[in-house]
Amino acid sequence: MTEAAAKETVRPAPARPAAGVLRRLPAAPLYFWLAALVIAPNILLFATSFLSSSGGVLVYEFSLANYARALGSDTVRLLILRTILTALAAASLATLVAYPLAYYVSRHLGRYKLLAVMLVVIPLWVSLLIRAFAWRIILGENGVLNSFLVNLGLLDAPSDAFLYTRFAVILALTYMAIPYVFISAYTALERVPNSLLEASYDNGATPFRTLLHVVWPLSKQGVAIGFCLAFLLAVGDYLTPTMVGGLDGTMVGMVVASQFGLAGNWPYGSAMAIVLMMAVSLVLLAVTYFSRGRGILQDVDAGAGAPPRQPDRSLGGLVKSLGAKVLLLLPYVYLYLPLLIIGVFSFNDSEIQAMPLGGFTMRWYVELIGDSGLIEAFQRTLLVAGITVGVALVAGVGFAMLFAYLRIRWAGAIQGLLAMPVAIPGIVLGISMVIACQFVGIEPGIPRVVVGHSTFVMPVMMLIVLSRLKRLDPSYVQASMDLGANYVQTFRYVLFPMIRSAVIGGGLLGFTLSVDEVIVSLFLTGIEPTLPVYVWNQMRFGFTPSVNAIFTAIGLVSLGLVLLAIFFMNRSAAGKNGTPEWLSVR
Amino acid sequence: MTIQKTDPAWARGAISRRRALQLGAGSALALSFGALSGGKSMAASEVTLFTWETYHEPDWVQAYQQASGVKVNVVNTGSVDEMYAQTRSGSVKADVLYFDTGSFPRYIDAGLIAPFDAAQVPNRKNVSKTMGWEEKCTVGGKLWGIPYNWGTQPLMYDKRATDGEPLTWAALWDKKYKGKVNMFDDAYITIPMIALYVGAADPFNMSDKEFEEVRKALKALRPQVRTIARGFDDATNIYASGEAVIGYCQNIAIVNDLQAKGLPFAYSFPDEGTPTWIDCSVVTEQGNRPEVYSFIDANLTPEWQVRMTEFSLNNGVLSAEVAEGAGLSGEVIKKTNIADQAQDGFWDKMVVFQPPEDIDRRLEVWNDFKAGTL
Repeated sequence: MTEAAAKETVRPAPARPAAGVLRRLPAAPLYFWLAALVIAPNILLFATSFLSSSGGVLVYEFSLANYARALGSDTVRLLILRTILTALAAASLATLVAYPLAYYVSRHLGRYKLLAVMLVVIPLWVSLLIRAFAWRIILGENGVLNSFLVNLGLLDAPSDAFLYTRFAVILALTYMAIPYVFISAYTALERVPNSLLEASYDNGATPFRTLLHVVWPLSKQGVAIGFCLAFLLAVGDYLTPTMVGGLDGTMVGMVVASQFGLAGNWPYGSAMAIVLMMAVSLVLLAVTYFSRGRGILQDVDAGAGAPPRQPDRSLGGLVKSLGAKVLLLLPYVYLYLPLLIIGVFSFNDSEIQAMPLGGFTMRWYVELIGDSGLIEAFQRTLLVAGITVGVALVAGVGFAMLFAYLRIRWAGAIQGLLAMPVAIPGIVLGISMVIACQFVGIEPGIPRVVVGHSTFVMPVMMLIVLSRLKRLDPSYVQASMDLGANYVQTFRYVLFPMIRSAVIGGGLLGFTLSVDEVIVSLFLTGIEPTLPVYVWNQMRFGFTPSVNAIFTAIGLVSLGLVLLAIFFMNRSAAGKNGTPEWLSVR
Repeated sequence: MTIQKTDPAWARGAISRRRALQLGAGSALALSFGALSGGKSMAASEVTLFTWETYHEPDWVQAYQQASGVKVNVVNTGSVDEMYAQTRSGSVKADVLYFDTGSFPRYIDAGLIAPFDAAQVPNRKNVSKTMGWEEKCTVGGKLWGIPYNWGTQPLMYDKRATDGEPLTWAALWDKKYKGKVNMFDDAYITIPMIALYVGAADPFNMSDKEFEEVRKALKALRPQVRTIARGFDDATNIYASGEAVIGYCQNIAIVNDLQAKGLPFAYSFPDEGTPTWIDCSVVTEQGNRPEVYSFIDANLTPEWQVRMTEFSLNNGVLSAEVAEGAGLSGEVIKKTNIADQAQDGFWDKMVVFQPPEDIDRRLEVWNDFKAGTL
């Protein structure tokens, strides 16, 4: 990390009374983004909720009837409650799994740290829908779990207690949430300085007390961000719950969505979406309230992150270490079991996705090569993610610099507003973007999806880069300009090298969020589906196991690339401390 | 823009996809937002179709173009709603639309289609007489289209689980099948079946009392159903994995697929009636031209229909004799309802989709069913 040495010696200067040289950077694009991509869609959504619909056509008369109907409906109230409780349960369970895992990886793994982290991230690159589908195969009556339990003699006959239950819904949503909580928990834990832990031990605290009174208070804000992200993804996803939960997996998103489809009643759907958003906001406020910390870690405190702990060589220590390693493996089994199922079915000689297996075949891979629909959807997904990350990069870095170096009025509020799309459930965001795109005439297809994805990828990028910029000493930029460098040179040779790892981290996270996004895309793609939307359509009509083949290939290629990267990084000096650079965002 | 690709793989993938896409009424919610692309300006020697996958495959269209010199543009849709929304918004300006008879009134009310001139379609003689299509395509005393394809939505079952052939929808409420009944997630298609079960006089125009009966029936059905299918492939997997043994069949392709896997599934036409769809060729105002009618006529030749039936395993509109005469194999006929329709009283037992009295109300009942708040 090029910036590390320099910044540690200098206390971060406050951003506001910043270097005046960049003051003239125009803030107009910031306000344009805010108005066009955040405020306008939400105002349109809000306005629509007060209209009514007749035969699928909007009637422009103000009315509160939609809200009265939504709030008066037992179904809407029950489903909102069920959706929120289920999402909370999933995010909580995911935290229970991900936090200890992140702690262990952060403190106890040396050169395998990066591998351990990337292994948690890789499943996110395989379509969530396909992974949810794999859970169906695992949990079904003729599924893997039942076969296993019956063979072990623990069950006399296959049980129907696993699939199409609330248990299945929570299991699948927890599964989905773990990587997100893990990433933010890990990032937070990496920032906890070892010196504080040593101090705690030196004062006689047990490891548990240290965890409770030192590590947790310093990392809980980071965990809360992951928790909220997981919660929001779970609230917004109404497809996974129905796939594994059957009728009991019906979530409020399904009912909201039906108003935009069959009923053609956008106003009522918008009102339901607004009610849902209000309920979600209350939960987010509560989480934020309880996770607020006293004071923040400064880089000068944080030091160089956590070195791995020295292993305990006693017998007891070895047993404990072995036990911990076995426990460490369990979350990975959980994360990779569905991927294994997808892999197995990609070689299964049957079009039907159910046990028992047919023979071995390679034909799904052969057909994949000729399946232009699937390949095109894949290319489109990469294109969308690529453009989105590009847009997010330019806008996110630009806006972050504006906030860091310009005196922007109500900067905190504006940052909050820009980040709002991250905090809006997918179903609501999708709907508001549809209304907005329709309004300004942006065509369905790639342009709409890019706009939709940019709304939530850009703030992620911006906040990550901004948090890095705020910790930089502004005098480097000042010095560069004083020495005669122009803006471009200063950015290229001084500023960018110092924020590069934050940009890479933000870009990777944004890419991951974009490639597997299904709900927002579902509303925006029109007839040019991205891969997740294509998969969703296929699951209903015309499924081909080539879908398993493409995701097995994506999973294996990702794994291969990661292993290769780690191999080369371990050979070079960069990998010596084993910390993935892009994750060490401070 | 959905001008179909000429890649054969695209066409191959479309075979099964089409079978139920067509019935996707409301469930294909995302697509219903309408791809507002594809607006086409019409030239006199062009015909633009707004159709469904497997209805007009690229090679068939190309052959027609070469023979007639008329350029044919194909725009595919994903759902009934999408087609209506795009036609209404003017984002797709087609000459011929392909939709079910139940959708006639809303297109007529919106002034989107023109009365159909059957005299310009000599091949109408090939449409199976037993279908009684003229009556089904007449609204307000005027003819609005001609059938192009049709299909049934019967009761399907696993022979190992039932005692013989169930001939009433009441079988779905039989406690014996608790947790093993499958439905599919579409109020537009499902509520008429429930209405038939409760004995509604007109399953598409129910009284308040009948709505209440439907509500009660759905409440009683809830414990029977653990999951609902999102499409026919979803349904096939649910039945194949043993999660369901009986249910309302979205498309008989599900039964064909299961049989092909060696599973003893079958379907029956219950005494109360079987919901059935008939998709018609319908011309818009701008499509009211001779070359458009010529294309529709060409679509009703036995050769065209046989090719479509073989490709999609949909029924087409020919009678069994005409189809066989044109070379459709007995094996294919067995996989469709083409032979069934020749039986006496077949069409009397079919209940062809009509526009529902209040789709909003139907959807609300269905959502209550899904949420378990009935």
